[in-house]
Amino acid sequence: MSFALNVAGTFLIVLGAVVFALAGVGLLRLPDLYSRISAITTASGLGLALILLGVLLHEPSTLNAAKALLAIVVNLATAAVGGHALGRAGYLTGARLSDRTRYDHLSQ
Amino acid sequence: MISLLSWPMRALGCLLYFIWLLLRSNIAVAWDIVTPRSNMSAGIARLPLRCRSDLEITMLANMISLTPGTLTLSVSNDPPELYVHGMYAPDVDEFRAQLYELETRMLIGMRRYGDVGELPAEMRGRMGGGS
Repeated sequence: MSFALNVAGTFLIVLGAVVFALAGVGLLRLPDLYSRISAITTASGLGLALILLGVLLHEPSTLNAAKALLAIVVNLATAAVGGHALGRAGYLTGARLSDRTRYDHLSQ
Repeated sequence: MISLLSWPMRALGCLLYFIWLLLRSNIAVAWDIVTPRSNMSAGIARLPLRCRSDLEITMLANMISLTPGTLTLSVSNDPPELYVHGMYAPDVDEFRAQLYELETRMLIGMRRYGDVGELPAEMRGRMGGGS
């Protein structure tokens, strides 16, 4: 049983690391500020959640579950607010939109 | 029947839908990043809301920011509306319909009696009659 938990936990940790790596590649490859923020905001939320769940499976206990849940919720909330603040600041200071942008209701 | 008793179930349903959306859009964005050709087609859409309280507006703005590919850029609560940047939003009404789907599920989960209310008048005709 604990072997199965270890394997599942390791799988989740590796998956979380892959999510972070993809977000890093996305940071380089995506065309403008807004899409980069989109990619990073969620990747940090989902990647950290996966890694915390993986660690929880390695060390399962009620207290650890409560800590992991709290960390995931707080991280998701702050990542979202941070992404919004960055995007808003970028728009207000005139960050360029990619030429793949079809419409912009904020400019009206 | 929608009643107070079903509130916890509705809230759980909303949470599960959000996790599903998070996974699905993460995979979509990851695929776009690792494949050489990008099919990104972005836009910033104005989205008049059915959310009324500050908590509902905050929750929706955060859920939209957390979903990969969409980012809330501006929030106003009078009238309640968001400006949302979408990475895969070639058609503005289709993009809005996706966001309204999330709003509907969130309001069903968050409101005590699950009453969602009608779409803002200017959107009603454009969303294919969906309420």
